[in-house]
Amino acid sequence: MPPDIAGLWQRDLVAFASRNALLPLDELAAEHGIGQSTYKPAFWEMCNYKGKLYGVVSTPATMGLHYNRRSVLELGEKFQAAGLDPTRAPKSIAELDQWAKLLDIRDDRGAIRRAGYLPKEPGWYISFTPFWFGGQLWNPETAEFHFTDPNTIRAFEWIQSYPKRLGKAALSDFSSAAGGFGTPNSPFIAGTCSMVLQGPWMGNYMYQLRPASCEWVVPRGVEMFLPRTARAFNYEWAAEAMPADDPTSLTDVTFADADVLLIPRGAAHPKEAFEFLAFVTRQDVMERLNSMHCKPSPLAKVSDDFIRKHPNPYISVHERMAFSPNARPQIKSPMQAEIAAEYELAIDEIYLLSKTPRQSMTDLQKRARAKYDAHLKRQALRQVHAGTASESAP
Amino acid sequence: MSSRERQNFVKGLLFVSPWLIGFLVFTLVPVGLSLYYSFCDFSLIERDTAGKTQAIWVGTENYRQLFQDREFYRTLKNTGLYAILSLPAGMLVSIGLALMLNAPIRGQAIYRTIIFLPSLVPVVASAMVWMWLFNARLGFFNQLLATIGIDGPAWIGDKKWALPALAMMSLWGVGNTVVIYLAGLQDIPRDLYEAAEIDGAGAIRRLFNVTLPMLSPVIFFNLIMALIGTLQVFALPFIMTGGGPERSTYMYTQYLYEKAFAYLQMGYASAMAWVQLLIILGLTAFAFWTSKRWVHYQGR
Repeated sequence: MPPDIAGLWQRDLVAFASRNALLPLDELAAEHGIGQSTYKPAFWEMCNYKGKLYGVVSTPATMGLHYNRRSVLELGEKFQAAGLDPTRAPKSIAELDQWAKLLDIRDDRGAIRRAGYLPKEPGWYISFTPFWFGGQLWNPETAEFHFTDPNTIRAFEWIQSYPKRLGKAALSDFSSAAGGFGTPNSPFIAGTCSMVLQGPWMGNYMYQLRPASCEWVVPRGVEMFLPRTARAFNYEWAAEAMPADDPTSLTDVTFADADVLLIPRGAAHPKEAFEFLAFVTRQDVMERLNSMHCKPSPLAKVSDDFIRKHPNPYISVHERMAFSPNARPQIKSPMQAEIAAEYELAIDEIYLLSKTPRQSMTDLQKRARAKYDAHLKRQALRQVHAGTASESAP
Repeated sequence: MSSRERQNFVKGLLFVSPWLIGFLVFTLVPVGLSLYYSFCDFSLIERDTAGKTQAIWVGTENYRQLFQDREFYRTLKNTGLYAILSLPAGMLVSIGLALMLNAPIRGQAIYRTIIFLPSLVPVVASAMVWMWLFNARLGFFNQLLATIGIDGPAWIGDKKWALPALAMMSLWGVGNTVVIYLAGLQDIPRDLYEAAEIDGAGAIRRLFNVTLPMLSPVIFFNLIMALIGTLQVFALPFIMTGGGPERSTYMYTQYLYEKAFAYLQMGYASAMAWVQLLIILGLTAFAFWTSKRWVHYQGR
């Protein structure tokens, strides 16, 4: 007997839903007045699969550029000399590259002492880089992968420009000496990597692991009394939407992710289980929960208090990204995990300069297609042998 | 069977029943089920409309797909290479250590304890320590190499060095094997060495003509155990490299685990497990066949 409620990463929702392991929640949600208008579009979209609702978001996240404001301001003159404004985040990928070069510090041996930006630091969202280049990874309508899309290849050419510029050995040397995430030695927290693509939880991590970086001007207790717009000045770090390659056509691009709550098929008390899900979805509960997680709210309606009292001073940035039409979730494929593993290999090949992005992405396209065909074959076999089947791909 | 014998038989069964039930429930039934599932499309979580688990019979499809799977051959190759590197190295080092520890020297018990201690360290803890030893910038090995002017590799961060580095690390846990070799060495009758000495055999001749032949049953036992262990290697590469870089340390058991629990293809993973069993069985049978030529049992 499965549990009444389960929690998953959103990326696993489709794998479970497509295997008939989850209860569709549309009717129960409608009974509680929960529907499309309850959520920000990206978070509603990610819980639906083939027109059915399979989960509700508990804690969402949007990924943005986090940068070390102090390091940037210390180099103010150099920035200005290069025609850059150190008082605001970079506005395009080209500008981000300029920032990165100015922020890099290398010793006599060429070892990286401080990196401006490293696509693999921490690299959790490197596979979604094509989003910032207007690339598409997967078309759910045609069930086709788009790894050879020119924009996707351009995104990986940009990624490869980093090991090419900094040197593979220097990068390996740097990452081997870096502390793991969630430790004071992790590069962004320690100040050895000035810009990272990260989620809103950085607000908590920075405060826990480097409190001084969150009390640049006044102690934290006093900060809450500052006007909302002035709070950011108290922080040595800042967050903004990761700039796109072409900022004129793409703004507030983000990868949207979430933890979701769902009801497994066969659960003994689905109605009661949904009562709890509806409770979590209540605006006050959701805001309290996500304040504690340092995250934005997945709900369309957000109170002023949530923004004002939120422990993350950049929560309005995350709220803005979460509402953006360019907030894009994970690939909705039943074999997402398997494709992600193949994708990871391709990224390794690109970052370690073993292959050109075009070669690597062409190979990935073939591997993904083969996996997908094998999956379709399995589904067909299930239909033949069982007379019934779980939903077919995509 | 008399009534007393029957009574004793029932009592005996009752006494062994905890083990018997455990063996049935946790070994025999899962093994039998895995054979069945290897012929099914089964994902652990897949349900029919009534909410029941679905395992659909697909015949030999899993095996057919397996033999067309590039990752199957890649992981098989990586695991084979790892075995080729770590198995002989492990045997040579452990026999060498056992021979040294068998010598009558002062503090023998302390040395034996020191050699045995690493095998008591939990695998995750030792993996963490070794990750630092292999660290490209701060690691012990590269610091050591730097003292003689060699710029060391990135070890587990370099696809050429990652697999040899893991094989090197496997030597860390030879303590168990050393203890078994030591027991074997102490079991060799002294009179054989005396006879060899009278015949004028030096230390090297005694090693090759007395020690190793007399130790051969123990070597054979350790060879079989190491063969099984190395072909199932999982924890160290999984923790230290996750199979990277560029899948250079992606091992068969890790692929099997991911197929079952990450990609939700339990039927396919079961087929992989049975193929792995057959490979290990085949190699073990081969080792038994060759043992007739080089394993010498006392009293035969």
